[in-house]
Order: sequence, then structure tokens, then C-alpha cells
Amino acid sequence: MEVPSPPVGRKIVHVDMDAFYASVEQRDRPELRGRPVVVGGSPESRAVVCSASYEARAFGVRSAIPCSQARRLCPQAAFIAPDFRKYTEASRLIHGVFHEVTDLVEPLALDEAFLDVTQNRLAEPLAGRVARHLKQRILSVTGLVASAGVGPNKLVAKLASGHRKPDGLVIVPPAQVADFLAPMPVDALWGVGPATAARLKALGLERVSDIRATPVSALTTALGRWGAFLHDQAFGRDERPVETSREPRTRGAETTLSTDIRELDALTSLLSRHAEDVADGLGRVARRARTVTLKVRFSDFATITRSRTPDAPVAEAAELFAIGEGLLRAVLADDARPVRLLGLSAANLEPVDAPRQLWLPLPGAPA
Amino acid sequence: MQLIVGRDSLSRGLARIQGVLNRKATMPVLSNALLEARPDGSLRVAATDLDVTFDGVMPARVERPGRITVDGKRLYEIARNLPGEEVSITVDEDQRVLLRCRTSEFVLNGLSADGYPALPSARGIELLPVDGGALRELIERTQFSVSTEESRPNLNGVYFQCLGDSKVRMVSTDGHRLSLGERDVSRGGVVPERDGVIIPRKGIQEVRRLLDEVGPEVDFGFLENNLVLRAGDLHLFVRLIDAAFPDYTLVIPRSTERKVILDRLPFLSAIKRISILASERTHGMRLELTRSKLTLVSDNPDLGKAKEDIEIDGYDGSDLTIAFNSKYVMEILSVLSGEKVALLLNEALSPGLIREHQNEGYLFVVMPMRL
Repeated sequence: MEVPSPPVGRKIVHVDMDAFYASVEQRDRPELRGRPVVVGGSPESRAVVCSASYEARAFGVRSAIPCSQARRLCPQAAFIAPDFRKYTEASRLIHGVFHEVTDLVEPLALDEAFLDVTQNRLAEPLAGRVARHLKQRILSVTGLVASAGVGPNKLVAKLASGHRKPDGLVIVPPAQVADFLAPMPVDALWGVGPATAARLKALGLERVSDIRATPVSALTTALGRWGAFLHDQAFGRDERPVETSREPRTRGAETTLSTDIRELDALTSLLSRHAEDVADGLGRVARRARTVTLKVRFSDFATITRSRTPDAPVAEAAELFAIGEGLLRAVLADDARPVRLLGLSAANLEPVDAPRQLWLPLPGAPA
Repeated sequence: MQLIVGRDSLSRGLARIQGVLNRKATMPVLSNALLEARPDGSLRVAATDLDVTFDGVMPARVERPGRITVDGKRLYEIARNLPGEEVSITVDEDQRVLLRCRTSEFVLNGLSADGYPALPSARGIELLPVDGGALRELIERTQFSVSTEESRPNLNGVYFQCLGDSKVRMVSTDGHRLSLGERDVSRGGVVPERDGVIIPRKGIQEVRRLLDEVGPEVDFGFLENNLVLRAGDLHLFVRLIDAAFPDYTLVIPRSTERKVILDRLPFLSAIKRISILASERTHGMRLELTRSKLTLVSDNPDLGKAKEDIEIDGYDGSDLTIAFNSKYVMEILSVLSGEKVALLLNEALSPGLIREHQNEGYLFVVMPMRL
């Protein structure tokens, strides 16, 4: 039997805006240019950093660290509350530029996307030139700087865009993929988080080259079937296509509290706001959720999630809240630690017009 | 404690308690069977999971009376595999249970019977003779639609009501469909009227299993919050659900605009075929009813399409397209036994009704799907 050969000669560009939110602020407020800028909550609060300008990063400020810590690292930074309307508008322009070149665009975030430019509207065979064109167009349309990476697949393109930020353009031709990946730490590979990285380290595997030198059987023994995919990645093999229409998978809302609390009333009122946000998010994509998940992070940073799949899919704030509240009560009954973060999310989404089993009109039945 | 008991009766007595042994319980003793050698020459074998309790007695040659609890699953496995016809059981002062049967010898570590939960006693309560076969049919035809959703405990069992004149009604619903059966269960004597109770899912399973084992001659009654069933020297106690069953009469259509009579088994086979292409999650199928035929359709964009026509006679109502969960309809058709069933419908989003043709004893309400 003939084995289908993998698609050859794909050309993938990964575009990633540099310090996106902070750059938008610096663009719009000239007095901030050249200064450390931190976009996030107030440094008095316990909110985390959304985005830090490169000037702030020089002081060690990073996304997702607490704002209070950012201020200790860089007291002179300007702390700015995020203005998502501006970022969404910039994002819309950037994605418009992508679609000038190809419709094979996989959006990953407001400021980040994969493009399959194997065929493109510029009729340009050299993907590096396509990437340079994208960077220039984004700069002229939005006044913002992007980094781009070019490779034969998504894995390599993404690593390339992050390789020389800001204002980077890194092109990794197929023949150089192996050399490019070899010295990288294992957590550069897709799906390797801190836990997997620690397990790999325990096996003596710290760099991509180490993984390449390990038999695939040893990886599958340690990591299961996923080990084989990791092995492929170490050789730069990644056949995941650029997926243009991403089905919405989850909708969620979470908040880090300004002080750790345990009072059920305060937590449920926060939960009810989250339920409204999640219901709103579901409404926008015309989906309802088969699974509802509560996330609780305690004062010691231990984080747990609890899920429930009700009899019937839910979309209304009141339904989401009722499930979330039940889960929350159960969590608090089992655990005396104060709560630092509370989140609610909806998953296993289905279209609101999906077939639905109706309820008998018994007293107390769902609507 | 010391006795000799027949291997087969021991094995039978242990077989029926297997369903209530709870190996994951926080009380380790709940995975044990209670054995009691009595001076009157009998061996009592009992077990409880605190909701369902079996308590049975079998003849034995008791040499030294006593009580012990021992791993019920292992004891059963041993008993049914022993080579001889008689088993000798001896318990020493260290609670070790020694079993001997011909050339085999087993020692199991027991636990004192003093730590075993107190079991309900049927002594002195009045039990009425009932027809176990009729009860069994009622259970079989209602049990499948009991809800498994833990958030609605009042639906996690079969509603059981003595209507007077020896009639018993059983009802169950999971909120999407409802099964109702009503039968005379008398076996001499009259079963009087009594308020309805809810028998939990697990308990009703054990009742059904017991009826399968012992046949139609059973007696039943109530003890505090338990249903009691007696067959010979065996008692089964089932703790009832402490909740109110919803007013189910509200969802039974009082009248229906459309009535179709169908051959039960051919209808069932057609649904089985059609459902092969139904969605694995919703099991939805469409029923298109016209004057000459009923067409079953499953249309699954991911897989394909299936269609089957069933000729019908004597339908003079108007056309209707309605969708049902094919599993729900198949479950109903599978528990019935008559040759013909009646399908009674109103509108596309109103509850549908299935009955056995010319048997008023059972009715099944199914809520349609919105496809």
C-alpha cells in the first residue's frame, strides 16, 4: 500500500507583535516613548502585568508577574490600566494586513497569528520576503512593530519569531531546522510546560538535542503516546496545519482578589459577575456549554479546578452561576484556605441551535 | 463458633449479597458478610451497605454458636469453588475463619461482629403476600427511566404507590421521559391503599434480582423508612428516598390528536437500523408521519443519512414531523411484550405517548427533541 507522504515545502510565517499593549500605549502617548511602561492593574492591587515595554523588561518586569512586584523591580515605570478597545482595533488592522497576503490565517491571540504563505496573493515564492512585507505593512498601517519567524511548519516558525525580538525577522530554511533547534531548551517545544520539563530534566534531557539523541521508545515509556510527538518536534517535524476557522472551545472569566478571602458572600458575588461575563462571551459566539468549570487558587498558590456537566447544556448567567456556586460550596466545605483567585469557565461548547432534548414540564424542570 | 453447612446453600446465600458489599466504604466492615451460627441449627448470612440489607437463614449443623464478619467477596469465591458438598466453618478466638471442605482448607481473617452496623429486624411486622412476577414486570417496565442525575434525588428512584384493591403503581422519570405501570399484585389477601414512596435505583435493582431468584411467592411490607420483602427465610430491606416525588400527572397528555398503531418488533428493528447513523451524543431521529406511512430519518452531517418507511393503516390525522431520542423509544419498545403499540402524538414540541395496544396498564411519555 502506498503511504501518503506528508505535505512538503510548506512555508509558514508566525507574526507576533512586540510588547503589544505597551507599544500601543507608547504609540498613542509620545511622552511614554523610551520609558518603561507597564500595562496592568494598579501596583497597589494584586493584579498582574498584562504587558511590559522593552524598557521595563530590562528591569526584569515580565507579563503575568504581580504589579506590586513590577513596581519593586522598576519603580520609575509608568503603570497604565489596559484599554482593550484600542488593542482590539489595532488587532483588527493587523489581521486585515494578514488577509491582504493570504486567507490561510490562524489567529492565536489579538497580537499573534500563523500564516500559511506557501501560496500567497503577492505571488512571492520567498517566504522571507513575504514576512518582511508583513512587518512593513503592519508598521505603516498601525505604527507598531512586529517580529516574524519563517519556517517549514508552525513549530519552527513560532520559535523563529521569538528568537530575536523585538523587530526580529528570523528565517529558518528546511536544511537549517536541525541546527536551529538543537541548542534550545526542551520547554521551547510545543506542549512542554514546567511539569514535563522537570520530568525530562530528571531523565537528563535539557536541550532539544538531548531529546533527539533519545530513542523514541524511551520517550513514549516516560510520557506516553505524546512522547512520539515530542520526538518528532525535536527533529523539527510538525505537520499541524494552519487552521483558519477555530471553533470557539471555551469561554471564561477569572479575577485575582485584592485580598485573600474566605467569605462565601463575597466569593459568590464575584462568581455571579463571572457568570455574567461567561454568559456574555457564550452569547457572542452563539454557543452553549456542556461543561462548567470552577477554578480556585488558594492563598498558598495551590490551584484546583472542579467541573460539572449538567443534564442539559447551559448558556444563561443564572444557570452558570448555579453550577459554579454548587462547586464553590463543595470546595470551601473541604478546604479552609483563603481564596486568592476565582475563575469560572464554560467548555465543551455546542452551537445554540444544536439538537436538544426537551424537558418534560415537571415542577422544577429546566426551562 | 463452629458449624457445617451445605456448600450450595452457602454459595447461594453469599451470591445474593454481592451487590451490597461495599469495598470502598470508609467502614472496612461493610465489605464483610455477617455470619451467625444459631443454636436452633441455622446459619444466618447477612450484609448491608446501610441502604440495602439482605438477611437470610439456611439450615446448618451448629456445633458451637457464634458470630463473625468476614470478607464477603472472597468467602463467596471460595464457597462456590469448593470441591465437596459440605463445608465446615470454625472461628477461633483470634477471629480467624477456618473453612474446610474435603481436601481444601482456607483461613480468612475476620472482624468481630460487634463492629457490624445494627440491622433492621422484620420481627413482629405484618407482611402481605404479593405476586412477585407482577412486581417484577412493573419494575422491569419502569426502572430504565430512573434519573441518574444526583442533583435531583427525588428522581433517583421508582415511585411506588399502593392504590388500594391490591393495585400497585410504579412511576419513574429522568425529566426527559416517564414510565408508568399499574397492576394487580394480589396473591390471596388484599394490598391496601398507602401513600407513595420512592425506592432508590440501587434498591430496586436488588429487589428485581431477588424476584428473579426466588420466584413469585413473596411477601412485602414497610418498616419505618424501609421497604421489606420476604421470600422464605430471606429478608431484603431497602431504605426509601426521603423526598417527595414530583406531581408527574401534570406531564401525561390528557388527549392526543394523532394515534398510530404499529407492530412493535418491526418498529423496534427499524429504529435500531436508523439509529446507526444517529448522532452518538443525542441519538436523535426524525419521525415524519403522513396518512399512508411513518418515515424514520436520521440525518447526521458528519456521517450520512438513513431513512426507512413503515406502512401504516387507518391513520386519518394530519401530517407531523417530530424528533425523538431513538434510545428512549427503543428502551420502551424493548420492555413491552404485546404485538402492537400505539404511538400518540400532539405537536412537534409536545410530549409523545407510547402504550401497549389494548393494555391500559402501562404508559410511557417521551419528550421530543428540537432538531
